[in-house]
Amino acid sequence: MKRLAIGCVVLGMATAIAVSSCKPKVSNTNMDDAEHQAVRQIERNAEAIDKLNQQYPAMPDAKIVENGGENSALYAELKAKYKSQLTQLKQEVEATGAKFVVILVTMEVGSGTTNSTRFGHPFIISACRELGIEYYDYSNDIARQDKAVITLAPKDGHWSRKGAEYFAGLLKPILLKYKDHKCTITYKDSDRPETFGDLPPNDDEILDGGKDITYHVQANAQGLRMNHPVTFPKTKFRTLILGGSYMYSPFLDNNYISTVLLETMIPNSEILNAGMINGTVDDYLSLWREKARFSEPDLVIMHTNGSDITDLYFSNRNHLARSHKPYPPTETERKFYDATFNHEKYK
Amino acid sequence: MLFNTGAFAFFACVMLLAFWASAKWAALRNTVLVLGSGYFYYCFRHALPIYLAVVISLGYLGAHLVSRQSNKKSAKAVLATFITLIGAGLAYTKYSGLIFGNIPGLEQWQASALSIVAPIGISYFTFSSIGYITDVYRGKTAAETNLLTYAAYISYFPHILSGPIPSSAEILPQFKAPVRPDRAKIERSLGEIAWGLFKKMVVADNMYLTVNYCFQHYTDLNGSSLFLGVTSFSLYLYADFSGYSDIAMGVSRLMGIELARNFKTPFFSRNPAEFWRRWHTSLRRWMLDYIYLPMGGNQNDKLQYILLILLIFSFSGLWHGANYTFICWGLLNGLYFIPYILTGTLTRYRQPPSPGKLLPTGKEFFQMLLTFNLVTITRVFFRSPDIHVVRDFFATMCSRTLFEAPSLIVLRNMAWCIPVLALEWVQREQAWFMDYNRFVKWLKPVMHIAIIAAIALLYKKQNLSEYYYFKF
Repeated sequence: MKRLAIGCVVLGMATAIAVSSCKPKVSNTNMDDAEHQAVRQIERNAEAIDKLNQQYPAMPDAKIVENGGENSALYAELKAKYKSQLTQLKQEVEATGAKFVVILVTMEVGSGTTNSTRFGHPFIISACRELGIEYYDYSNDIARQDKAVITLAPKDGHWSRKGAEYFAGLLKPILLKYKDHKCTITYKDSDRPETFGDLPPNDDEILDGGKDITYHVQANAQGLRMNHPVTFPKTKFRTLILGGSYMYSPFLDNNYISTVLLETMIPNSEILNAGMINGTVDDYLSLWREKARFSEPDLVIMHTNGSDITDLYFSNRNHLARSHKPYPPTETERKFYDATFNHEKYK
Repeated sequence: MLFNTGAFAFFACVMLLAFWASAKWAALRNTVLVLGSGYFYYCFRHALPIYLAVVISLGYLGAHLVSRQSNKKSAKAVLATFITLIGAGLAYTKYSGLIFGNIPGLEQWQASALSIVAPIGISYFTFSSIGYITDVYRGKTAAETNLLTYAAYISYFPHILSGPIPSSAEILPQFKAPVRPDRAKIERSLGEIAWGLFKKMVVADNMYLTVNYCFQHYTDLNGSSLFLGVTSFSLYLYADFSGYSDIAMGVSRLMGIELARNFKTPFFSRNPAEFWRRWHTSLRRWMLDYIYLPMGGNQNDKLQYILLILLIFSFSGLWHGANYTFICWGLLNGLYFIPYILTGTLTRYRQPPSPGKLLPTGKEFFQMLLTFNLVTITRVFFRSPDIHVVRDFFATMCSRTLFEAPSLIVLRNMAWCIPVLALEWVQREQAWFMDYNRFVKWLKPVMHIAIIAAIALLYKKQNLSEYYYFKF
């Protein structure tokens, strides 16, 4: 009897420990050279990012357009970077035969508009026009809505359930417009990566974003925030959504997010939600290249807003970028950083 | 400075060093404790130590005045005055909303309207102070002549935030007695701290979000998920509160001061009375000593006895919060006693179930399951923000959806508490949870290592949730 009791105790603890150690681990054994090189590269990148983050810990965001304003050399540099990445993304998406569309969504409307949006918004529109990208600017429509209804204000500014319904209604005409558009490229199963999005595959957990608003986030096997796996060959019109937190939709269960609602609104379509928190065009481009393009979407919708430009600043990237590659500062960025955060050093 | 943070670990180490460096001299030792506890309390909000100092002064003065009265009547008057003065702060900060908030024209007198926030842990040190003066009045404790000793006792940082509520007769003398390091005590303390951290950081913190989710999304979930949600809440609450108490007890014993054990495997109780003898025992004891027994206890006739039980539980509900939901929670717990009292089956168990056996008998298992579920059902009142939520929660829980498959994430969440329940069942007869000497010698170090490894590997890595009981 005693032995049985001991066994139960030890087994309980061992089970708990075993559960935690089930996560995949990188082992040095059974790893070929290429894998080993890749792991080394990841380690080197992590070290470089750590070093840069220690050297440049601050993330200036809105300060970029406050100190020096819209016409500063730094902002011009970031706008050029944004435009260049947008161009690349458009070209690479269109090379697959998919339609590329940009949507501008921000809750910063009226008196609450920051300089990032005030200056960034018109720039994005002009860039889209210049590049021949079809864009949909929803800011005026959003401005007319009651924020207390469409967002979780005052606790949080992201979509409420009503807001997600409203947003799905905004996106629906775009999907209907391109429902007959077809991607012309197909990939071999062996070429496809295991995931198309960045969420942990089959993630199923409760989160609250530290705001005491709990929500149930579920990812499919391919790391996308949706309720079913992406299969091949595809049988439905496939839309890929690249975007930030308004697309990821924190604080809403999967069944209430706009992309899942859209799938029920347009039965013959599937929406691949690759939304990510803190995303910007640089992240969408790298996600597209690395994983998302292999999902063979017919339509790619990129969500953006003015702050995506300032988010391209090197220290923001080093803290938040999905690529986990180091972003050393350009001369202009470094000067701005020193002038803003290291006054003494700068003098 | 929560107990499961590096800041507290550092603070506790500094306090231990300072305490043992000054251990030979009681006055110096208590000075260290008062300053340290003051700093600990100051870290939560800077103005808090001032309020605490006022309560300490009132308790000290009140006890002296009570002890100096030559006749019982005047002593009683002084006692009543000081209990009112000490209790006024607690009553106002916690209950002004319930009272003034419901009287038109007086809303502006609520503490919240005046931006007055109840000091953290106010109930614990207020109850300690009231208990102490009452003990002096009853002659159970002599009025403490040394203000420093008394201040160290009330402000003592391991118990100031969430108890246990110390008994003056047991705890106060320890602040005057000589202390010596004791290897066995240190070993036991470290085991208690590790087990407390495991319950708090691994079990409670990992269960927290899903429990919250069930109560925030009760309109989206089916009856079986809500039932599991409230069961999870019951288990979460135990892991959180008892984990905190274990850490407090362990840290205190490292300084040679024994605090009362606050939880005695309550989920293995066979009736509600046994449950409440095992759950938050220091509060139960306080209410027993200062409300229940003075009012006659079970010496009353059956009707008076039942009314007294209902009164005690209503008071307990009010202590937990100034909301009708808490009063309902208390009343429902009191109502559970009635069938047992009327049928004379309110057995006072002297031993845990099935002593010396691995498994309980069928009858005991049924009794434990019934008691657990009775208590768990009341937690709906305890956790819900208002009575409408309670109504809707019960409506769904008692609907046909109770027999549907539950949400998997809610079901899975319950697995966190299996190790706690399993280990506590095995150790239910031991006075000290980590006492495995009756098995084999190597088991104790193995258990210590396993618990520490489990904390390191499984602790919840997101935001630290506030201890649920801080707000009381």
